[in-house]
Amino acid sequence: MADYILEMHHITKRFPGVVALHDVSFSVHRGEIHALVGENGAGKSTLMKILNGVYQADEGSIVLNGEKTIIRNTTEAKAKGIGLVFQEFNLVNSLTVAENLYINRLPKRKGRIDWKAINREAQEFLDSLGFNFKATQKIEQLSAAQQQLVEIAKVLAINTSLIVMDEPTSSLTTTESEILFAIIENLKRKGISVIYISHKLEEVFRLADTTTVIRDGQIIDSAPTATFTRDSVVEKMVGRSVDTEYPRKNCEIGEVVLSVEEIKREGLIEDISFKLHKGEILGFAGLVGSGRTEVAEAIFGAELYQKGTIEVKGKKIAIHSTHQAKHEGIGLLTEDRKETGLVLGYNLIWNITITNLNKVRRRQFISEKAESLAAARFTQELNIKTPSLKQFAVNLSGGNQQKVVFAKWLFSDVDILILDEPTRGIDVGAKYEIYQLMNRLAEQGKAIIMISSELPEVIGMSDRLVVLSGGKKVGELNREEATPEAVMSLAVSN
Amino acid sequence: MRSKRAVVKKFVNDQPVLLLFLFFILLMVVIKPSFVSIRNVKNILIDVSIYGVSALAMTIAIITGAFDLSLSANFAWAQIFFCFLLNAWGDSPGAILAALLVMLLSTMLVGVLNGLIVVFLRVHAFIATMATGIILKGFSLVFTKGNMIRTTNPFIREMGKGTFLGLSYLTYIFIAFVVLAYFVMTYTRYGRGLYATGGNMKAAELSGINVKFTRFSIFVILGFAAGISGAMFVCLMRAGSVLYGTDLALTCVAATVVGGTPLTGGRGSVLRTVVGILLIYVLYKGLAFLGLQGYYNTMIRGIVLLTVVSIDAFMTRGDRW
Amino acid sequence: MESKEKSTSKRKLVAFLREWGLIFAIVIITVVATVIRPAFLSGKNMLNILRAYSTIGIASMGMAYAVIGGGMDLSIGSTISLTAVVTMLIINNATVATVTPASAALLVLLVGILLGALIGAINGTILALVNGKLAESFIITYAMQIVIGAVAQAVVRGNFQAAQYRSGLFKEFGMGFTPVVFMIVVAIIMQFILVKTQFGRSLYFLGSSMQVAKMAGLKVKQVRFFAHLICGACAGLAGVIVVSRVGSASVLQGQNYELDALVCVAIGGTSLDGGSGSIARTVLGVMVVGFMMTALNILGVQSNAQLIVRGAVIVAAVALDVLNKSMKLREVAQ
Repeated sequence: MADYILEMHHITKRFPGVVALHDVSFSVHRGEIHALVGENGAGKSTLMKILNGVYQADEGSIVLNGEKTIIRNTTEAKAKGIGLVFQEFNLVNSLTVAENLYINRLPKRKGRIDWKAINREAQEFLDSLGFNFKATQKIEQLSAAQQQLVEIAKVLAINTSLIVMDEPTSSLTTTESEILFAIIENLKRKGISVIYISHKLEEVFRLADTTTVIRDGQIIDSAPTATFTRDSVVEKMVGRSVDTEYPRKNCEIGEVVLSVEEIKREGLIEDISFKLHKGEILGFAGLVGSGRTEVAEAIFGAELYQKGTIEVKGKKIAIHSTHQAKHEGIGLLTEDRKETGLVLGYNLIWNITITNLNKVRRRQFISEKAESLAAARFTQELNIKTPSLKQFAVNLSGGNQQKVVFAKWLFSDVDILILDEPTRGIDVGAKYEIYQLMNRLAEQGKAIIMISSELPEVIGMSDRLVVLSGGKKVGELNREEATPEAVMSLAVSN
Repeated sequence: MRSKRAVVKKFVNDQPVLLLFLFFILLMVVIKPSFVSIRNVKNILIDVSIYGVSALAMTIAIITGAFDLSLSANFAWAQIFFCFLLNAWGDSPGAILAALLVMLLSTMLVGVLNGLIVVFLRVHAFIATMATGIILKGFSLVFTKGNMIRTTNPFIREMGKGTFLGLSYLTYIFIAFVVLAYFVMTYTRYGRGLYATGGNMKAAELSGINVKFTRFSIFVILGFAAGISGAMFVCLMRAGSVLYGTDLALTCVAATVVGGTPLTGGRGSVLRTVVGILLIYVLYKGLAFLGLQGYYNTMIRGIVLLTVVSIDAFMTRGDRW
Repeated sequence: MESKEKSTSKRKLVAFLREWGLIFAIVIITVVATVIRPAFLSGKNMLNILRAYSTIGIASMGMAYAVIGGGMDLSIGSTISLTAVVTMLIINNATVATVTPASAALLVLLVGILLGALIGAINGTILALVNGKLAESFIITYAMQIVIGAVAQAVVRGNFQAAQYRSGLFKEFGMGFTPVVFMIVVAIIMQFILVKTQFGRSLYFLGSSMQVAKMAGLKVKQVRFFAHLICGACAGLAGVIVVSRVGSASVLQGQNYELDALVCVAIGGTSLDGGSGSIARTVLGVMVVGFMMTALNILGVQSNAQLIVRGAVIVAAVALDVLNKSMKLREVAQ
């Protein structure tokens, strides 16, 4: 039994309305690199959160190092030697690297903190890892990639026997990723086990000894990585054969409706130019942090841009606010629907009609009846599952919430729709519905920009692909050219 | 790429509010050179010493991401209660010490109340402290029946008037607190915990810092500071009243901002606030010196405060999404 | 499973309190006060309460707009003071005395509202430029309160003037039912705007989440601006009516108005976080506060002590609201 550093037996976790994990058993050998793969929402995060003490399992048990344990919170998890490197950073931006590393264990000499010693120790540690930034730099001065490395350093600085890494290379360049792989392999040699969660199957195949596939809250397969092929992994992740995953679109590509030239946002994106056509789905691919959302924000008027021109339907305009962009026919479905897409406390009707209240007016004033009718129409058209129109948005499932956001933008009659990670956190069935919706919209003559970090998705759905890396456009591919390898190699090129 | 978004637009060496202040002060010196006199400097220092202790506490609170609008009321209460106790318990050193301690206990109790409401009932600090301030004001009014309370205690008088090496005793007290505050903020775990809590509460919590306790303790510190300021005020004026110090809270906020600590929290320094409060009281004194009395003085003070906080809000607006 | 049942019933209690606590409070207070002084329930007394609180009512409705939009306006008190003294000056002005009473009254009304609107506009402009939410609203309007208060003092040089207007339309503003009529009319208009216009709907969204509002293409800055402008205008109107009713104006006229307005809004069930509530609820809140304060008067509680009650009420109302919200979200937390 001591052969396994971690065993999770028959873990079940329920949330109101959904079973996130069902009878999941997951074990990691001592000193192995174990990959955990699955789609968004498959249950990987939930499982890791249980391991880290953020959630408690409803059923099942955890065995660490041969001993049955209960992990009640993150402090206990840390104490038991479990370290987590998340996708979202938990760093204090206004403090230095050293301060963040030592945040809760600042050593005292003679009753006060010895900053000289801390900074020196921290720098030595960073150097030993091969990181090229200084311990005295403030977090906010570092790039996203460097911040990711700080998160990793944080975990490595404490005595851990098991490290969980969740999409650790999402913000890293090829070189930086290589550094990380070397570190991970070094950890393995030291006998530290690593759970590696990643969408990038090349990394999985390169690093992992064992691979476990999880889907819809259940373990589908767990075996030595060598026994899998790329296709077999994807098939198990998705549950169906790769090819038929994305519905085909059936329409002509028309004239240019949006033309963007040399858009620049200081420190974020530079020299971004592309054209968008009627009836087209233009994919924006790239790593997290490559600047795609920043481009979307600039076009939609949510943030200012310093240089560049935008032409909508041949008319040159300077966009400086969201309501102006909307007026010109541009809409943006944001990355984080809960934060910026919906007011969770309001019902469906309000969330849908807000973009175009003019349409539900009778004699200059809002008509509740007209609102309800409009909402009902969209609810039916998009197949939004809800007991009533007056249901609060917070009570809907992720997929249905996303459909409400779609309804909101359809209601506004914009012709150009930018979708930022439209299927994030949505179950497979709803995803397919959204793909079909996108096609329908394109067939109706709208133009769509689809930002997605899921390679298969953005490749499968787009007529053309624009690839961003490090804030610059590094390539444009048409459908035939867009293979995962081609896209990925562009995405990590800057 | 994304991290650049998080970079604050204000750089350490580029403080427009500070420069603005310096400009106005320079202007005043030019208009009336007699402004620069030892007497004025002494008076300004005394004001700074009294209110500075509260400003230090307010800065610490702002760095932690908290706020206290009840500071003014607590300050008034401190004066009132201290005078009351002095009158009741006599002139002996023991009695004075006892009076001080009991008064401090009472102001810290107000802080405890604030802490409970903000941290455990989870009411916004602004609303909570505004409400407790009102409650305290009402209580003070009832207690004093609207009157001023005076004290003739000779020791108190000496504290207020006495000097050592040319500086008032009060200034030494203030300097002691500055040193203490700086030490705690920079060299203790607790102090760094305050910065972390203000910078990213979630990260701080995940790193094992007891955020609830930290935030709670801030309000108690604020209560303590209000008490100290109140005691020092009594030393100077030998009286306490609800009318004194009504814009203390806002002045402390302004001192913090002028000094260069942004209201968004997570960064800043108490030393900067010392500069800030110095500048503010130089300005106040200057206005009085230029002959502006009463309501014109108040009006300009108000405009200055308004401008200061507006500029700060404007410069940190991007971070606030 | 057991804890889930407990929390559900706890949640229901909290929600119940929030919805019906208001009516309960009115009933209980009325009963207690009537027992002590039977005259409480008389028509004359009711009218008096309504009249006395109609100006607070109007100010509260303005405050409600600011609060629903996610902000706050602490400068209402000074705005009322300033409008009051300016009104007094105009009425007493020799040139104005030559004009017909009706025109004078209308002039004063107009000036009062516009002056209030101007102050609100300044608040709104600053807050719009700094993307201000609750915290900024607090500090900035608090500072504005100080400035405007000083302006009011400057205008009258500290004097306290008695009104010397001739009887006529102006005096009518403050007599009998008229203040109440004003309040009702304003309430109807403002509630209508909230529910039936783009502006009103946008205001709700702005208060819930400025990000969502911006990303939905709403004119965030304009909405913020007008919310405060209207709030200021309401305060201005209140100031004019106060002068008419009381017969004099002083720089302390508006003291504590912002506090009372906040209490009315909070008790009415409008969340101080923004995004919810209504004018109707605020009117209810005004009634409760009116009853409650009058009852306190009957019980012999001094005005200073009443401050304590006001403060405590705010804390209680907000705490209840926070509790209610957190329970709602916890139930469906993912």
